[in-house]
Amino acid sequence: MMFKKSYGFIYLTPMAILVVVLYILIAWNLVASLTLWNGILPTWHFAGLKNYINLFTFNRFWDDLRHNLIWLVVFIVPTTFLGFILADFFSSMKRSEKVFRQIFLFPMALAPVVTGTLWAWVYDPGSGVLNSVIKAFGVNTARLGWIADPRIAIYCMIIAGIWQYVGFAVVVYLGAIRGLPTEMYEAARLDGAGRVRIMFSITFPNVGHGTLISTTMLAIFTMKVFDLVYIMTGGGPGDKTEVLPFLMYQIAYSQRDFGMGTAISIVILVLAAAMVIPYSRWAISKWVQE
Amino acid sequence: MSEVTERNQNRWPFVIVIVLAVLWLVPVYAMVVTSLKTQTEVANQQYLAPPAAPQVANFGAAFSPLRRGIINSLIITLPATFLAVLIGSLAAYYLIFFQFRYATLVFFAIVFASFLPYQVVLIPLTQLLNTLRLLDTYAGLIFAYLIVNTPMAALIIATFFMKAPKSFLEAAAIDGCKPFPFYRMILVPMSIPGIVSAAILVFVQIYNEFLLALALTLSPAVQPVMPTLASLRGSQVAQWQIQMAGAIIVSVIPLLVFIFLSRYFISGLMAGYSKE
Amino acid sequence: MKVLRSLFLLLLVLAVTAGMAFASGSTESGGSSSSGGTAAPAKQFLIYDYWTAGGEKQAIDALFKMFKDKHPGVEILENQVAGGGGSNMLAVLIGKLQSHNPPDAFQASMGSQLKDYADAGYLDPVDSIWQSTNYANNIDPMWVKMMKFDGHYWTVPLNAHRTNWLWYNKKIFDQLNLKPPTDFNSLLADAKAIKAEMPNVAPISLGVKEKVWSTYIFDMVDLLTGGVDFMQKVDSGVIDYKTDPTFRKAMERYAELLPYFYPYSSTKTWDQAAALLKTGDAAMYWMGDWVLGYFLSIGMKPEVDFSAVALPGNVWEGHADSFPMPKGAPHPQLAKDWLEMLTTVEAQKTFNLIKGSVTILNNVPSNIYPDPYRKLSADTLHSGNAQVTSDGFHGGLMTANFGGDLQNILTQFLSDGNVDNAINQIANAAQRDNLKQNMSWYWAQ
Repeated sequence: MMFKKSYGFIYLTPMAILVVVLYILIAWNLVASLTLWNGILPTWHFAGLKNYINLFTFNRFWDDLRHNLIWLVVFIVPTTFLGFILADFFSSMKRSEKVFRQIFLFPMALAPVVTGTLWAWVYDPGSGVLNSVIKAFGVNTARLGWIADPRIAIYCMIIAGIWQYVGFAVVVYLGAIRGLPTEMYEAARLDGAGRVRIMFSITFPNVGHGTLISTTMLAIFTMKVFDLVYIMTGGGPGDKTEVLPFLMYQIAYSQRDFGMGTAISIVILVLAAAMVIPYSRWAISKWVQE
Repeated sequence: MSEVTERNQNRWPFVIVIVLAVLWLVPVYAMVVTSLKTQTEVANQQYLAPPAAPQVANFGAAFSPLRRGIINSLIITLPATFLAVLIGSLAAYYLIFFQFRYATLVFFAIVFASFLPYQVVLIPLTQLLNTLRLLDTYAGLIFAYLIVNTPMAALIIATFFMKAPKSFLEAAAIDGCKPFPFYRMILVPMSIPGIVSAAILVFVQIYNEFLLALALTLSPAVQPVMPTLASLRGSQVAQWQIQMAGAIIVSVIPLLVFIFLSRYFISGLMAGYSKE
Repeated sequence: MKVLRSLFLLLLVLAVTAGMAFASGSTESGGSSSSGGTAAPAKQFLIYDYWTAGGEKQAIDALFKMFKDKHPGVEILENQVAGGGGSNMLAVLIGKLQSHNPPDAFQASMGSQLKDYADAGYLDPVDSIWQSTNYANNIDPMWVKMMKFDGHYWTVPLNAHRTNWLWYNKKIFDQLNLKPPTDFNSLLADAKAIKAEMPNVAPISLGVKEKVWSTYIFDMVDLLTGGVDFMQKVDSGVIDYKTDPTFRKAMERYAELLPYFYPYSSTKTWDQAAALLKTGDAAMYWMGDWVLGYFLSIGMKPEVDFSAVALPGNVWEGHADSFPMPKGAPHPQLAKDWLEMLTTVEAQKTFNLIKGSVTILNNVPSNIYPDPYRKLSADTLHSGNAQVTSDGFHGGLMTANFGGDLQNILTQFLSDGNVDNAINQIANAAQRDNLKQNMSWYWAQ
């Protein structure tokens, strides 16, 4: 530490205010979730855990939770995997690598609203891009509902997510791979190992760091998925693509049950905390080293 | 291994990358191409075929309902970004360079806050803004974005501050440099890349944000561009060309930021993650 | 380095300029940031409504013109709601009401939503207006029932939209020699015939991207299976969903219709679904008469391209838009004048003709409407002979909470057709949302 004067605390004050407000809002959520507030009446009726009990016996809640878990697995695994493979390929391409990296990364700069609009159009069963291309090959598209098909709608949406975020995994892994010492590879090549073998037996195990970051950040992202759902399907068909943040918004704002809405927020918070806390501890440990 | 085989070894990844890159670009290609078509051409659904003559007028038609939204987005995003970076950098400065007993705790609170899904505080945030009479105002939305984004800005900048070469800093300290001049004259100029990275990332996050923009505004006078775009669905027989043109217009700013400043964009994303 | 520094400075300058821009005026149309307080300028009228585009906007603008003619020098400040259904405006509106900073007028409807406002103490009764204009005697008693609670009137209705219309593509019907349906069985028969002869045409169009429309079909099968009284009981939680045989029959009928709906209904909004009638992708459409304006705007010709039949013919189902009196309105005299104006024949004629609805007042002759559908709607409503009822969701025969749950259950039902599951979930939702208790005011009158 360089400076000892504590009057410098003023530097921290604005940030401190913002952070304190944030945590007060979270606490407020907790309190509100224990009431039967309907958003219109200015009074609250204390209801204990009734909202939570209602929530946990509400099968739409479990459906949505399941959808969040589907996102967790079906989104993270392919994205990380694909990101790793691409990063590995990029690491051996000298000049063209930058161009390709941009191609995979630029969707991250797009707003989820834009991505949602684009992919809703791609998947539209009536006049969308996908079905038009398929029709051009003479295949009948009558059964291909994509986001109107209750069974595959969520997977279609996840593909849009992968499209948007694979670049992140690529960049993370690229950094990690570049940090690896080349001696490892020399030894393997001399032994005659093929490229694929090297990738999975040597490179991948040594970028655990990159895997950790990538999966954690992507996991945190899946807890936030709202925009895509709102734009692409509105949660439909039925509630087959609905996720918890969307449920919260609907229940609070459309159905005016703010007590239940805040309860859902708390559940989201707990789930996110389960993912964030280990990551924060790791970040702290790095910081403390300095 | 023979030379030929090695070249082959390097070739097939390249092929895969090219195939994937093309696949990645197809939706965007279709989007751009469609935005330049006439209504009849769109109805033909030959989405991969280019337009007969580019209909730039589509962009004009899409722009006029979005114009107010873009202005609003800029009015909100620019000050919010600036303030987030300013407040965040000051906080990072304090936590790293000053002796403070609770620094670790505060840092943890900040890290945790920056990774939280912010929807969790949507409801109380609307209530708070309501009470402060800040709903449906620029100031209210800026305040909301500050609460949600400043922690991450602080985190990114803190990472860059930590990388400042110690020797240089110590020399300045020995010279009897006071805290604020040190911050302004030495630390900040040295950390410009980091600060720009944070600024860019925060800017793109706020500009692209949808839920708060939706929930905290209602009148078209104040509403940012993302909710406006979302409500811009062609009610008639689907006017895809206008919708796509609108989506492109809205994406110009963040894409420009990305294209010209991608170095900072990426390092902002990566801040705090690399080992060094 | 220099480039970056100037970039930073540029950003700084932009930010400060933008900051000054916002400091000098938060909203253009005024309203939320300027304090309502006690010293509001006397010549302003603050109103919230959802009519932001097309014919609706023209209609409300015509009313504003009427109002301004009567009150020269008054500036009307209208906070329009952009996009989506009103849940955003609701949040802000409620905030204003809660913080005792209400507008002079805001658009509401009727039934349970209205009652919430009244119960919360945000409204003043409008008994004096109803009495001085003898409103109750000039309109159908159904409106009174949905707008009078605890012995007081709480709002002034302006326009009547009829919901129980079945629209159909006339060309398809003529081609297949079909008769428009008169009851459920003929509806199903027509649907089957269309599906058999024209497999690429969806017999019944449906757009549930906004899920609420699934409740309209729900009301329809309830109406056609058990009649008006039954439908009202279903919507307000009076029946025992799990054991009631008529309800089960209605849900089974809903299931029977499922194969005949447009298969991609989850991707279409109500107007996009209506457009399917123009392209010939769908043949019939169950929708309220606001779709008439839409049909006309996309170039369809009445009685040539499309026609409609009221189903059932002797029932008038629908809802009204209305304006209550906010408690503590900043300009109470203007607010009162506005409401009084809405009860006049002139205002109702002006507004409804443009809006596409019919007048609430019974004594306006139906020949003012240029199309046969509204003539019929007005005749039926004003005759006093038909069974008049509110519709479920928009009409406030159910609570918003239950309505939300119901529409989710029903859109799910659209995909799986599982009647038992749907019935169980509806019963659970009604219990969880306290539906019966919250709607008991309706039956207590």
